[in-house]
Amino acid sequence: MMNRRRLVIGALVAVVGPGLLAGLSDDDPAGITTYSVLGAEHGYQFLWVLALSTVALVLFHSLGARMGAVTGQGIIGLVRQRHGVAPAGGVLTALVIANVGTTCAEFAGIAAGGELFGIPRVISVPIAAIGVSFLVFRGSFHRVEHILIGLSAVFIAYIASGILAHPDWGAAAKGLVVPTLPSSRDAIVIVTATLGTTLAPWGLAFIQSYAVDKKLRTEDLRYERIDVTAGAVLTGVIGFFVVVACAATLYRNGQPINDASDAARALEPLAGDLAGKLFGVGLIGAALLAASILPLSTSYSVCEFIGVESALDDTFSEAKPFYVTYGLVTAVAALVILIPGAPLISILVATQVLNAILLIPLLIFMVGIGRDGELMGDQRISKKMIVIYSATIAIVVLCIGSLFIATVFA
Amino acid sequence: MWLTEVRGKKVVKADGVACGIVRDIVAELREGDHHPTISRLVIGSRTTPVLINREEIDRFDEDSIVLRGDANLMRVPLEVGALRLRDDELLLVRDVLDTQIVDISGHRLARVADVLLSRHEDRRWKIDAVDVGFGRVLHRLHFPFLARRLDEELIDWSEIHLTSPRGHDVQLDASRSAVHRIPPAELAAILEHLDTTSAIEVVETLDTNRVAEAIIAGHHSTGERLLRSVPTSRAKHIVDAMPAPHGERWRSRLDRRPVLQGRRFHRLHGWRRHGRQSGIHQ
Repeated sequence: MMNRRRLVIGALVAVVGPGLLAGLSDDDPAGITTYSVLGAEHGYQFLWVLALSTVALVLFHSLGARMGAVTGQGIIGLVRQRHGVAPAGGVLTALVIANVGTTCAEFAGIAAGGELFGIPRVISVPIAAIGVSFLVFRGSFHRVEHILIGLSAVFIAYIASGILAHPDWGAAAKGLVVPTLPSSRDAIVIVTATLGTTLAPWGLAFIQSYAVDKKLRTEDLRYERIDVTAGAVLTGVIGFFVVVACAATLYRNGQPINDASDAARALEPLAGDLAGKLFGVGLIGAALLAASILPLSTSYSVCEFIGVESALDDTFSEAKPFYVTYGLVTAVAALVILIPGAPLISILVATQVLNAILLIPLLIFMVGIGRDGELMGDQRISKKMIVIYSATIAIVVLCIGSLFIATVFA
Repeated sequence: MWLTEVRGKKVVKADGVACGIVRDIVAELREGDHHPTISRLVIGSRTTPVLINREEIDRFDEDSIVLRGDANLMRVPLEVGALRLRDDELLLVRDVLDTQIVDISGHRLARVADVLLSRHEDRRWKIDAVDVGFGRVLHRLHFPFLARRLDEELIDWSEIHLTSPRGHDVQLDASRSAVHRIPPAELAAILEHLDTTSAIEVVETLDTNRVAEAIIAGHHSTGERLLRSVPTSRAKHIVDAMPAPHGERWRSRLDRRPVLQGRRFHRLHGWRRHGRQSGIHQ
């Protein structure tokens, strides 16, 4: 009995990674900013959106990991195989542009987090860019994975920060389970942004490609489900603590914020110096994790499209397109942040819009391929699950459609 | 002639009446035939495809395919995906185009950008090679000015192994397919490139001595994942077929309890080279 339990734990430890990393990297600076604004401007009332996003994350990340394990290919490779080069090229182009923009947001987070501790961006951003590139260029798959999972531990800072803010747990629980519909344009924007920041196109592409690189088998999928669920739930839990930290302090005091570093600064007088510092540490860690994973997700996708091998264990000479893409995405994003007067806000807004637009076709492609018996065999999506996936896509379409209508009529 | 240029071509009867457009091309893989012959065209819509035997085709024009005057069209009221193909037949668009393949001579995994067809002396259209370069992709995306800057990357059909489900099965059925001809060291590299399910299927079609030679020639982790994945009796026969020192070493390796439920040794869907530049060694 003991032996069996040890073996099960061993198998679980062996498959942990894709779900945890894909999930937690969704709590990037853009995500933390969204959660902070959600809490600071609307209190606890929209916490249910976070719960809904977590369910969507579990559903689609599980599907991505399953498709990767069964077919041995990432989503861009499968779109090319099933639908041809034109649709795959279209999705890839949008994904690369959105990913470069999102990587800019991650480096902006590193810059803002560093400045909280008095480190200027001309130092923090190049160090971070060189650090993440060195990790991927020089590290083996397992070393990269271990370091990234270790980096994820920094998210505990948000949980501590949330507890130190002494939230109203009753109101938080009510906000989590009793849905309040958004009535203003700002509320629709933040609800859609919360869904969009949690279920990101690059996260979906990453989990599938990474599951392939990790060489997950269909036999591993029952353990992988635990990894995906744990990653998604932790993502939701961290988001929850960020929202309650801001709701308990900034919302109560009517203090508006623009981004996550504002939240960290504003928390200090309200929840104590430690809470603010922890928030800042969390921001830097989250940005570093996402700044490592976003170029990785882009590299996998580009290589799947052009049809060359790509894996973290390959050397530079074996996988040049993979490493060149990684280096380019990182360098471009870091440079944009370092250029004085670069239109950063415009880039970030355009990126969010592109991510939202890209999400819908990507989800549809995933479900379409997931139900393809030719590719998925007996692991294809069941009829019952197709209804659930379709309902989730319908909610995403509804949110994005509402946002579009609200924006046009505003 | 490229497959992607034939796909979408108009098919007309001898009197000029249009029958539809080419959806897919059927190729047959026959014993001893290194370049499979085009046997049929699939034309029409996805829901009601029409199969045309090669004998019904009169000629390939610039913008259309012209049928003979007495052409007999076989209407198949099924989706293309459900077409009843013979055991030795492949659909080139569905099973080959844009799928991953193993380039046997290059020991690498690549994706088919296009399929090169040509008319041989016997007037039959055959598959010559596949192009795995990005140039053909750019061409298909209507960027010919960019495509021209890139060289074609052709791999002879006899040097590839398909990894799409049907392609893999059909190739294994043809005993003259590439995996049946290659020497042990190269076979080891192929097994390393294939996911475990496909690799085991390859192993099951080979005789025990060849598998034993390939496992000795390959990386030990590939050998171990394969031997742990085949039935115990088959693994025992393979190890028994190895020369004594190798057999002894593999017996003791397989007797050891795998770490983490064998996870490290069940590296699947892998075409990893274990940090090697090239070649195979133990």
